[in-house]
Amino acid sequence: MSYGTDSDSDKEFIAQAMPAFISEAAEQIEAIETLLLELEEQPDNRDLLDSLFRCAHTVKGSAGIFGLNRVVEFTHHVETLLDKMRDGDIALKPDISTLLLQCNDQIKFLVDTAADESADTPEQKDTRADLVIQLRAHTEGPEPAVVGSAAPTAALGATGATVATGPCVWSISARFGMETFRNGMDPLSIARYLSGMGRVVSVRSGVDTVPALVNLNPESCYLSFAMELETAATREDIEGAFSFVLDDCQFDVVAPETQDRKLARAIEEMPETPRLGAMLVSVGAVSQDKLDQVLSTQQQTRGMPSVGKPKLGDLLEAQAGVAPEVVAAAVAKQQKLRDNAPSEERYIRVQADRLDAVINLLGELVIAGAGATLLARATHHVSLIEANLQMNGLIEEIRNGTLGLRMVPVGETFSRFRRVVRDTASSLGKEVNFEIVGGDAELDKSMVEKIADPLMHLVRNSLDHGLETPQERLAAGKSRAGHLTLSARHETGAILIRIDDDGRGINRERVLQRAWNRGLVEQGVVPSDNDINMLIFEPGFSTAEQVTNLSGRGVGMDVVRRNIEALRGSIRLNSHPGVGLQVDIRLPLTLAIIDGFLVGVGASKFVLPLESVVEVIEAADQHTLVDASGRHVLELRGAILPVVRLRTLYTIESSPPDRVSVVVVNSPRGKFGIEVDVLLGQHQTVVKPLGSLFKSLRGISGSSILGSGEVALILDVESLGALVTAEQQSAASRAELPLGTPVVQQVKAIASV
Amino acid sequence: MSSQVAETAYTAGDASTMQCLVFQVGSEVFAIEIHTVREIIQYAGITMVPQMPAFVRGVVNLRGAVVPVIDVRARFSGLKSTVGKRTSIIVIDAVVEGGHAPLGLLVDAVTEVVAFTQQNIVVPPQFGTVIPKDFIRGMGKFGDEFLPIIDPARAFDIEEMALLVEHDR
Repeated sequence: MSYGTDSDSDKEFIAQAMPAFISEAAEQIEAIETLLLELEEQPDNRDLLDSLFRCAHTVKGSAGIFGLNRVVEFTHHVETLLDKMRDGDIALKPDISTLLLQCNDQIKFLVDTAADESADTPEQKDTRADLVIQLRAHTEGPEPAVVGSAAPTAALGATGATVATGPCVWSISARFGMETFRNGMDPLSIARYLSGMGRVVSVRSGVDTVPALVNLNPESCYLSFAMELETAATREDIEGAFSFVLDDCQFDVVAPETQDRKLARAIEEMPETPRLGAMLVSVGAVSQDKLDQVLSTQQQTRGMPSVGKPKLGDLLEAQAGVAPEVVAAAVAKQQKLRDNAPSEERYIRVQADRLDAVINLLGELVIAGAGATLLARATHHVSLIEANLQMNGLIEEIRNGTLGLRMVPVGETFSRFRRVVRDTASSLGKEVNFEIVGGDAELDKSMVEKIADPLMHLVRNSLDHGLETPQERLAAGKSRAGHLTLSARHETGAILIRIDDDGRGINRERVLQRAWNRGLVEQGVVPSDNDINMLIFEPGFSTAEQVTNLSGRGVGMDVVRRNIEALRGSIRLNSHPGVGLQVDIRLPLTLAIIDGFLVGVGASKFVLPLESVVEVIEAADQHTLVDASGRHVLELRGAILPVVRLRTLYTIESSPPDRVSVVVVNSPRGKFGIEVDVLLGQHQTVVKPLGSLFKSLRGISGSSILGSGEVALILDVESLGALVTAEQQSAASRAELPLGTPVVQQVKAIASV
Repeated sequence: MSSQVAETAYTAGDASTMQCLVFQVGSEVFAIEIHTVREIIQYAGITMVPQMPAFVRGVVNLRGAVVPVIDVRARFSGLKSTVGKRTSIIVIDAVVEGGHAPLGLLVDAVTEVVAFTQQNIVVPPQFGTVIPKDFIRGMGKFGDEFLPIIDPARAFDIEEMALLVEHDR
C-alpha cells in the first residue's frame, strides 16, 4: 500500500505526461519555425500570424501545466511581441524574424531540458536574458499587465478606427473547453473583466453540460455564459477579453441585431441537443404547443416516401411562422453535430507498430480475398462471384485508405530545410533563393524519416561546395543570389527527389587529383566523367579546401550513399561544371501493397509493378533479333527495343512455348522489353520482403503470395534494366567460376551421400 | 546406474535432457534440438529464386509468410538433393539481426524425436566428422552410434549464407 501525498501523485502524473508534452511542444516549435519562415515571404498574411500566436500560446499554456516556469516566462515575452504584431503595431522585419527564430531555438532548448535544470548553464541564461532585452526593445518599454493593457484601449475605443456610436447592448456568449481550468484560465475572470467595460444588462451561466455528480470532474470546466453588455467598447475590445482562452473557448460577440439573427446565434451556441424541435423551443423561436401541433402534422405524412416527405423545418416555417434563418441555423447545427461529434480531436496519435500490424493483417486479407475469388470463379456460381467481387472492391478501398495513413507528404520534411538553408547561407555569406517543388508528393512515413538526414547533408553540401559567393557569382556572370531547388515527384513506382543548384558544379580535375592523392584511384588512371563525379561518395573523400563546420569533414557523403542504398534507392549526379549540379535520388515507395502485373515463365511466376508497364506485345519467337553486342532486341514501330529473356537470365528450366509475349516497361534507363511465356493479368500484390538471405539479389525487389498460395517474385524494373546492359559481361564471368565454389571449399562433402 | 540413465533419457521436458528431432540427409543422420524447431511441413510448391547457389532451394509460403528454404544436403555437401516421397521441410527459428525469422530446411526424411541426457552428449571429435566441426553442438549417443547434433545458429547462419550468396554471383 502506498500512502502517496497529493504532490507525489502529481509528480507521478507529470512524469508520465512529460514525454507527450515534450513531443507535442516539439511539433509546435517546429510549426513556429515553419510559420516564421513562411511569414517572412508573405508578411501580410494574417492567418499565418494568428497560427503563429496560437502555437506560441499552446507551448506556454501546456508548459504552465507542468510548472515549467522558465518556458512560461520566456515564451510570455515572445507572445507579447507576437501580440503586438497581430495588433499591427509592429511589422515583421528581417531583424525581428531572426530574433524570433533565435527565441524559438531558446524555447526548444528550454523544453528539451525541461527535466534537467542543470543543463541551463549560465551562458544559456545570458543568451536568454539578452533575447528578452531585445524582445522588450521591440515591444517598447516594460511589458504591460494583461488586464491593464486592454482596459485603456477600451477607453480609447471611441477614437479607434471602428467608431462606436455610443453605448449599445452586445450579446456575448462563451462556451469553455473542458481543459480551461487545467490550462490555468478562469471563465469568471473573463466575465469580471467584461463587466469592467460597461454595464451588464444580464448574465446567465449555462449549466446544461454539467454532468451528474458522480461523473463530475472537479478539474474540468463545463461552464458557459451568455451576457448582455452595454458598452461603448468596440468588437475588438470585447473579443480581446478572450485572447488568452482562444484555444479553450468558443465565443461569440454579437452586435445589437435583429431578433431572428439572435435566435440563430443561440442555436449555434447550443450544446448537444440533437432534436430540431427541442432546439427551437429552448431558444424560444417556437412554443412547445406550436411544436407539438406541427409534429402531429408531420406524423400524418409518415406513410409517404421519404423523398416527398415534408421536412420538419419546412413545416415549422410554413405553419409556426419561424423565420427561415432560424430554421437554417438549427438544421446546420444538427448536421454539424452529426458530422463531427468530437470536433476538437482532429488528430489521433497512433503507435507505428499498431498501424503496421493492421497493414500486415490487411495484406493477409488481400491474399485471402484473392483466394476466395479464385475459388468462386471455379464454381461458376454467378452470385457468389459477384459477392466476392464486391468484397474485393471493399478490400481495395480499405487497402488504399490504410496505406494512405502511412503516407505523409515529403513537403513537411522539405520545409524543415528552409531554416537550414537560411542559416547556412547567411553563415557562409552566400545569398540563395530556396525553392520547394512537389512537396505534396507522398512517401511512406518510415522512408521520410530515414531520408531526412541524407537530404539535409546533400542540401548543405550544395550550399557549401556548390554555390558561389555573390562576388564570385557576379564575376561569373550569374545572378547575385544562387538558386537551390528541392523537388519531389513520382516516377514509375518510385519517388524522385532532386536537389538542383546553379553553382559551380563538381570540379572533376580537383576530384580526380584528390582521388589520386588518396589512392582511391590509381595514379594516372582517368575514369569516365560520371565515375569521377561518383568519387565524392567514396569514404574519406573531401575536396573542401577549408574544412568548415558545416561540411567538408569527409564523412557523410559516403554515409549518404550508404543510407540511400540501404533503402534500395539510388543516387545519381548530373554535374555541369560552372553551371550547376543536379543530385537525383530515386527511392522505391516501399509500399506494403502495390498494383502488379502477373506474368509466367515456365512454372515460375513474376510480378511487374503495374505503373512501369507501358504495353504488351505478342511476338513470335523469331521476331527477337540479336544485335552486334549479343543483346536481344525487338523492332517496335521502327525503334529498337532491348529485350530481357527471363528464361535465359534466370536459367529457368522449361521448354519455351511457340509464341511468347513481351511486356514493354519504362525504367529510368529507358524502355525495354521483358520476354515472358504467359500474361496472367493484373494482380493486387502484397509485397513480402525476401529477407536478408537474398539481400544481394538484383532484379528482384521482393515476393508476393498469390491467391493459389504460390509465391511469385516481384521484378525490380530499374535494376533489371541495369542487368540488361550488364547481362553479357556477367554471363561471361559466371561461366568461368565453378558454381558454389565457396561452399565446397568450406565444408567436407558427405562421403557416401 | 545405466538403467536409471535410460529412464530419464526419455522423460520429456526434464532440464537435464535435450530433446532432439532426428532427420536424414542422404544416408547420413543428424539431430537438431527440438526447441529451435517451429514445425515440420510437407514438401510442396517451392518457388525457385533465380541466381541463387545450390543450397538456396527457394522460398515457400508458410501461412502468408515467405520463408527461404535451405537445401541441407547442398549446404553440407554441395550436391543438390532430389525430392523423394519422404522429403520434408523443417521450419526452424533462425536468428536474424537480433530478431527471429523462420527458415526452412529441406531434408530427405524426418524420422523421430529422441532425448539425450547430458551424460549421453559428448564433444564432437577434432576430425572425422561428416560436416565441419563448427556446425555441431555435440554428439548424441543414439543406440550404438553417435549422432551429430546440429547447431543451427552456425550451420544455418543467415549472414554467413547471405555472404556466400553474394560471392556466388
